[in-house]
Amino acid sequence: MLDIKKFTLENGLRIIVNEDFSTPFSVMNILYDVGSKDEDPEKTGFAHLFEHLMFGGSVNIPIYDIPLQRVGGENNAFTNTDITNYHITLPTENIETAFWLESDRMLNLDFSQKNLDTQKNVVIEEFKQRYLNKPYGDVWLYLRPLSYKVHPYQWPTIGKEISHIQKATLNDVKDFFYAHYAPNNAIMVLSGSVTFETVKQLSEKWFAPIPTRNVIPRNLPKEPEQKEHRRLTIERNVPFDSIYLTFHMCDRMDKNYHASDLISDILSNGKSSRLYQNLVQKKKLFSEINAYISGEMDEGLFIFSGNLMKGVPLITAEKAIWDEIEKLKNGYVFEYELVKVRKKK
Amino acid sequence: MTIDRTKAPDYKTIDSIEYIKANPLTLDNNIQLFTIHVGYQEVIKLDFIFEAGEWVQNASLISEYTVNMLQEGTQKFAASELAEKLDYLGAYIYYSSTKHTNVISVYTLSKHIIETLGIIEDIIKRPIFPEHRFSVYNGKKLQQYIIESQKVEVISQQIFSKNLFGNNHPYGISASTESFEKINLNHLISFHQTNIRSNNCKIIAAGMVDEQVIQAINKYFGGNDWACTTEKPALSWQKEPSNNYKQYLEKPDAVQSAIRIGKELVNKHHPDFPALQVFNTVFGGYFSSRLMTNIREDKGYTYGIGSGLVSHREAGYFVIVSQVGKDVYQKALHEIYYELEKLQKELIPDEELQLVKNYMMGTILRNFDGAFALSENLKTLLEYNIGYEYYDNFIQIVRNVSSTDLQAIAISYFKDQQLYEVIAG
Repeated sequence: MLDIKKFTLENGLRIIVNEDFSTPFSVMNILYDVGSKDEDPEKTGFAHLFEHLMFGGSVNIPIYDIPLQRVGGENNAFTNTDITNYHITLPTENIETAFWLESDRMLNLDFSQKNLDTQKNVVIEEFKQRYLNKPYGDVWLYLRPLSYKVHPYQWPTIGKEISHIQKATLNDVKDFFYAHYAPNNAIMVLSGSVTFETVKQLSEKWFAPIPTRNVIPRNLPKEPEQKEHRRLTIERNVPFDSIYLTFHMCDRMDKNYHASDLISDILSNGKSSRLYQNLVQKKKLFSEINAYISGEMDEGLFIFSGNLMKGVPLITAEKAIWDEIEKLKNGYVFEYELVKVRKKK
Repeated sequence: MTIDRTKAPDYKTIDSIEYIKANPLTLDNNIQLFTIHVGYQEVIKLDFIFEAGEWVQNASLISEYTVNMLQEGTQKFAASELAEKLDYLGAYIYYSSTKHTNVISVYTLSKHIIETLGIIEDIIKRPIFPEHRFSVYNGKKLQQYIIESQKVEVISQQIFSKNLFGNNHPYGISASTESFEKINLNHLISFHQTNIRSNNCKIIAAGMVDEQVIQAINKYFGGNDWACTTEKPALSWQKEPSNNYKQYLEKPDAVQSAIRIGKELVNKHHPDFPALQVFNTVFGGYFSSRLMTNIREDKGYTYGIGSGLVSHREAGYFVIVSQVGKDVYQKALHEIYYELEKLQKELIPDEELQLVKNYMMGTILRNFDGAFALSENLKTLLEYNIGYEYYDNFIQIVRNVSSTDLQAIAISYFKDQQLYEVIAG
């Protein structure tokens, strides 16, 4: 088991430490409790665009990456519907550089029009590369609004459309920063050969002076129960048909969350899973098929997605998935299946 | 307490890298076993490395198919039983086919090592390649291939390799739809009989590898029951570089163009290779590289651009890769060539070179962190039949190379050199 220690600074920053002296490195991870679900429906793609801007220089440090590379470190970040996450790996003896860099961009950014304009272009190219310029890339741009009618999970993190990114202004960006980037809206993790005492001392030095900010409490609409079957057919110039089915499921804190996760594993984790054995190997309906959960904080989705073998009618493929769902509902999960997926976790 | 946030904290540079070398052993049948006994987590990684790969196959796909179908049924177990057993033990197996090797990598919990070895033995030595599994696998791979072939980055990659090495060389050829029609089970059976054999095998064991584990490996793989009895023909392939240096493939519905630019270049055996790696890092090998700074962070033409040195055993190449907006690809090309020329004309400023060296030392240190990283490094040494002094020399050159050296490198490898350029999209 991991050895975990926690403390909270007076400004509300929560800090978690895991000491691990088997490596010469340490990792600093900062999670901000802001994702694409916190966006205005008319200004989507903002949380992710903002993640890009976080590398464009902060109030006292003109370029973020250079000082980190100079001390032998590397970093990356991601945004999803729920959170924005930044992480640094660097030699432990240079850990203070991470505290310096991350506290400065939590304190304030150097908002520049030039950086905003460039990163808007970069993100638009990312939108094209990941969602438009490859077969099936745009599926989630349709599947989310089909699955959610009210909750902001109805748009993907990259944004509903390119024009939302194009329209972003410097004022929008500043508002977003002050509304969400704050010590009291973040969790910081240090893991590696850094000691708890060092973390305490450096956190006090670099992060404690950052003022608490007024983070507006989240108040998202709850997705109403879906009462009707929804179906969308999209025609594209792709080589084979594909099918996606989504079902609403519980939120991440619900007692059934892990059970749902295990069910998706029984269905499709590995070559001994049911969907692979029955629908790929035996019935030869799909070249690939998966069942998985979206894993989101609020009520998420349980998803089936499959690529059909050439010549298989969509109706046959869909029925085969429903048959597997029925088997699970009416039948039995074998003890060995449950043990197996538990071990894989 | 007020702090000066404009001033970077003091830091230390990485001046030397200490790492643990593998312990070479020999099994009863003369298989070389390298053990890397590091770590405290109860996991072991085993790599079974076979000297084979695409270099020795006589048609596309055979090497890849053979290793991937090992798990589709053995004399003792059906495919579904194998999958169930491995899942039940919490073991993972990865099968890979490279230009010169086939590797079967196994991650397993130390407490289940004996049971896992028993299953792996069956998979490696006694696969039966069932006909019905083969047809499902082949159908699936063909569909994946057809989908992949629509992606501009895949199209540009295939044409680029062909232009450098030709269609009759393992480094240049790509599978075609015809390859999927031609391949049959006999190819796999024959490839397995010749190549997945004890006299063609090396093993690396990393993690909690104690005496008991070594004995178990010897018990399952140290026998004389799985040697190859037939003579292996020596193969050589002729490179046929294309005369067509610039190719543009229009894809009407594309919104981005995939770019590949490069040329054949030396591999790890060449004394210039480490300095070329430093040159490449400055040019396009890390986030603050010249290419990223100009083409992404200044112009916003792309989500990402990079360059790399690809080393194979018999040859290497240099390549620049990006996907850029279709409307700006010519501007992007202009900037790429501008940056490449600038490194020939101007010295890299000291501060930038020092930054790159520090960054590279951090990367090297990370590549030696932990048992599994160490086993990856060893795999590279085995691939090129070189010793640990390769890394010591590499580190020395990274630390000592000068801006003048790098300018000379840039000139000697790139001045007036025609590069292959492939644009798809």
